[in-house]
Amino acid sequence: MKAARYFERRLVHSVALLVTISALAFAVSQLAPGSFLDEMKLNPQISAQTVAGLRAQYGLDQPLPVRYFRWLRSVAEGDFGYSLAYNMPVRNLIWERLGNTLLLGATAMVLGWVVALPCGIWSAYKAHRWPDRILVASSTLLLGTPELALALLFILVAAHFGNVGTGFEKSRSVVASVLRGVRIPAVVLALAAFPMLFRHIRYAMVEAWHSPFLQAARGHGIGNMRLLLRHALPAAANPLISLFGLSLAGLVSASFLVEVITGWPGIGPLFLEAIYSRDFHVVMAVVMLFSLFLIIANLIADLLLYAADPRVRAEC
Amino acid sequence: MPVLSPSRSLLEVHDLRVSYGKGAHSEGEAAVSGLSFEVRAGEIVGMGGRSGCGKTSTALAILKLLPAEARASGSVRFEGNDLLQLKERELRRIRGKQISIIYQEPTLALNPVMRVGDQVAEVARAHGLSNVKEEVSALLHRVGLEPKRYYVAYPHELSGGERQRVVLAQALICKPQLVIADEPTASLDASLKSEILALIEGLRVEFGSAFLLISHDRSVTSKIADRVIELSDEQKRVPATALSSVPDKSSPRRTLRKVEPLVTVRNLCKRYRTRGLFAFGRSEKQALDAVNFDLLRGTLTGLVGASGSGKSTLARCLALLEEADSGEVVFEGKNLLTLTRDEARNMRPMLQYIAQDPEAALNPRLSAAEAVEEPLLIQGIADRKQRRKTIAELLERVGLDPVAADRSCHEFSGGQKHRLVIARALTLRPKLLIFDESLSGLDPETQAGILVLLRELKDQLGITQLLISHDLDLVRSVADSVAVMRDGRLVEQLSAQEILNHFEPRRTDGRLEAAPKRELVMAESE
Amino acid sequence: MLRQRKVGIALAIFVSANACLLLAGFIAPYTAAEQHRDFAYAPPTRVHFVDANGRFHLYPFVYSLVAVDDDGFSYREDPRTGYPIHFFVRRSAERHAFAVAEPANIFLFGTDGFGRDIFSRVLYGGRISMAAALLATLLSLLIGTLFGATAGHFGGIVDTGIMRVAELALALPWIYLLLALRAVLPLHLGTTQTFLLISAAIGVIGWARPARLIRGVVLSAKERGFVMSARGFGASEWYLLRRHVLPQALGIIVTQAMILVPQFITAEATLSFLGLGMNEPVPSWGNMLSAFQHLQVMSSYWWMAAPIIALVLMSTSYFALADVFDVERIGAGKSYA
Repeated sequence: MKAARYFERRLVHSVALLVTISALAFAVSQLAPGSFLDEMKLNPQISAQTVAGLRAQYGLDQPLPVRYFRWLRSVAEGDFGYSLAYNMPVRNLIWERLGNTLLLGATAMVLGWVVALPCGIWSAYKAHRWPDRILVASSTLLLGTPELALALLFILVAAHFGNVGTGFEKSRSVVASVLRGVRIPAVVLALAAFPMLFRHIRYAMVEAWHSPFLQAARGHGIGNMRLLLRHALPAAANPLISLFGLSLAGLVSASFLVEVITGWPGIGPLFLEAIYSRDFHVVMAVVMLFSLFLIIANLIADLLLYAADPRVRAEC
Repeated sequence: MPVLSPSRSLLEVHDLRVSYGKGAHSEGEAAVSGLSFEVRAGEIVGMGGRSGCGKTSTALAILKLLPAEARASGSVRFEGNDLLQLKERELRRIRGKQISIIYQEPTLALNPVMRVGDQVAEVARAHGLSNVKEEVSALLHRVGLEPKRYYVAYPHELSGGERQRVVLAQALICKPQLVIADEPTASLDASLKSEILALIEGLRVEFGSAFLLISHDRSVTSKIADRVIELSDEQKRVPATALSSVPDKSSPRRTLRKVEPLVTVRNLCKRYRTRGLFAFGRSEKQALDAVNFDLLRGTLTGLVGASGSGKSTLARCLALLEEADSGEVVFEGKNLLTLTRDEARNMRPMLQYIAQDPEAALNPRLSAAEAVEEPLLIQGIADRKQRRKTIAELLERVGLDPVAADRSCHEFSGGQKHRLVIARALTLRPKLLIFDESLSGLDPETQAGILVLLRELKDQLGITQLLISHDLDLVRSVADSVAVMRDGRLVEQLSAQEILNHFEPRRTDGRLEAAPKRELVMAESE
Repeated sequence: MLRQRKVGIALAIFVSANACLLLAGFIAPYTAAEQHRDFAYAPPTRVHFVDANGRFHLYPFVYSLVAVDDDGFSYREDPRTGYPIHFFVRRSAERHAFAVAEPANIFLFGTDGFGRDIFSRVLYGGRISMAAALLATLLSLLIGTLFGATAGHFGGIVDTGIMRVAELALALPWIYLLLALRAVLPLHLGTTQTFLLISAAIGVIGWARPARLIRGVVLSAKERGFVMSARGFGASEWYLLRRHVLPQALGIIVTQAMILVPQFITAEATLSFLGLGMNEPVPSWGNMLSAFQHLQVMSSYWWMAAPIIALVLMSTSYFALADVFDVERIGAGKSYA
């Protein structure tokens, strides 16, 4: 069937993308002047032989392409190497943290969409009147507030009220403590995402609302609510699904800054540390993880688009 | 035409005025000024007039569907109410149920992501009909769309004619008393036109609905309307007109003397190769197949043929926009196909090509003067004063008021834009003007005006012209000779008189009879 | 009418914010490095019009600070002598907008751990952040225009190739690209080197969107009717470029610049915040905020959050202005990252 070929092509494209990213990231990380072991060399307590031995052990004395393929091969087997700093398999390290990041990401995404979708729809419906003006103005303000500033402001306010409870507190129920902990980072993330979501949703709905077929339907005497939800919203589905794909793509990667600032034990702080200490295996693994999510999200979005928009189906 | 016994008045429009633009006191452009008419139950009223004279505005105004920046005044009485005074909620009960409207472009009027059957059903549901699915299926069947297949189809899967039927179904599902049809056949070819018109006639009888049939195409309205209202600039209602035939536009034709040709085309060949993906699906098409053709100086030659016959390709080769594979095109002694880049550049001003959509040739941001003087600037000609003078002259020559020279291009009407483009083409005193389907899509009056201009250019300035069109009627009315192309070959070249005799009585299984007089379909078979 | 008012407000904030940064040397009462060890973590100096005796003065004045106890960083005002604020003073051979005489100080935003005036540092730091952002924007637009024009003009495989790379660049979140790039560079460099490297790194990640837009303009210029028609009149490529492509392209470049600058300011601030950007003692809004990694700093010395306000103000004014000039896209946000 033609659809299968379409997805086949997308899959191939995605794998190619992944491989390209991995090669680029690998090259970049290898070209970095100063590796973990170089820093080690500076330490007078560690002998040069130890360093050389470690180097051979980690296979860092091989030429570049060889190292790349060895790395690629082990990745295919699921082995992401060893963290030089933590001295444990990278896979385990990441696995620990991945759950936390996913939790944060998912909560924030749900929060963001649950608020932005109705706001966007309603704003488009009341375009240019007061409710819309207020919402658009607030979204502009939020948009102009960088994530850094937003997160810090929140922390500041929370600190003032003595309530900076992120991370896990050992209290009665696990769920309760988790929810309490994820509160602030999730809200910050959702707020950071809100303006873009809101604007795109609003724009898509405005386009749909002003399209000729909607005006035609209005001319047939169909009521406004129905027009909005049954006629306009499906027509706006295409851009909205792409937006959703974008949201999904950032599920793990978008929370980096917020995690670092609020102290949420996710992948973000791990990544940062790895950069500081030149823990190259960790860096590579995290980059691959992010890219993987990106690609999977795009594929899911493509799938959804195929299901939702008959015109896309026709083109296949 | 069925004679109706005097029936009750359904819709009474009195002194309708519609204007667009800012200001609560209709400072803006008046689209409709003081129109009054009535529609009686069960009758088909045609509404004709030039494009832009307010027909669509009238239609929208009746149901208060005008865009926000429009203002309407007057009264529209229906069932004892003045529709212009009603609130939205009350109007919603009338729209689609008692008065429905079929918009001009069915492609635009249908939601691309909703199934066609559902779209008709939505109208039914909005007005509380029961048994929606059955009703819709029945109606789809009635308008000629087999429900099993078409109920679940999407608009993009349908052809233009099928979409028109869907929109028709939408308008009729609630069995309204009045249907306003805005150009229901404008984008259809001749045979479909007649089908739809027959359908409307049938539905009128069956459902008893009255129709307000808006069309600039007189042949359409003449076919089934009981009465026709002509909208003119004065908006006076013209009492029931018998249709006047298209005014005879014959002018003394130039008999084909032995005039020397301006352009001689010998053995012109061109092949198109379409490349498929990965060299698969490569297909070839012989666009021009050893074409031999003469364009006589100072004449207006028509070039007709079905789509794909090579007319456009020939024109573009003549205009140096495309390169032929082989053959020769001799223009004033020089073979165009062997010119160098610089020679071609110098040759260009003499061969002007006006494309299918001339309006696209005008950068909307520029003023008319700027658009017309651009060729002068490009060729580096003349100082500013000289240019202004030339522009004024040219504008007058094409029938535009030189005072309007500084208005922005987008402010001109369609017909005026056509004239602007011609003025532009004239700046460099071309010897040859090529019109590639540029007059299709215009309403008859505007077309007629431009044709007059073309004749003047020929008679007064001696410019040779090549007019390409699929509309034989159009070409016949001005051309001195007509060349016919089919499948890349030039099959005949006839003088004007010969055409009149040659094509008149052609019949192709009764279709031509049914076709409105304006378009003669080029028959595929002999 | 409302739109004009919006333009006016946005423009006013925009101009004054940028003016402050430009005139940092004049407006800031102290230099960025000047330390007042005795007054570390001092709260914002209060400006008075009414003195301790309840008398109203026409000119604003301040009181000098006195440390309350030695181990904490608490201060109280010494109400015995009021020090009026002088305007347009000369201080160490430079003119300043305002200052107070010794031993009083005017710390409008308080001081940090080294007793450095935060207000002055915000201004100077802003200058540096702004300069980095402008440089980066220039780079992005240059690369973007070059690639976009090339892709649009040559078409074919060149076009596809460039656009694929652009897709990649757009897909990956900028902060990771930035971090990755930054990770490649040595951690500790000299100030100018850091500055240039940071700007270059930031600039290199932002070329993709301008490239796509410029490509669009070039492509449409190739195909639009009036360009073809002009070509039919024998117009040269240069003429077409000048008359039909450039005006549109310029519009895009300006709007893109309005959007990129605040993003790049944020990028630099984030990098510096994480310790990967401008380092001490050079002030940057980012590294000034890195003190916030410590909880007690946050709760006790809230005035150190001043750079946040500056960041928000600057960002918002740019975005608002870009919004206003780009009315059709007001709802789309397509122009933004």
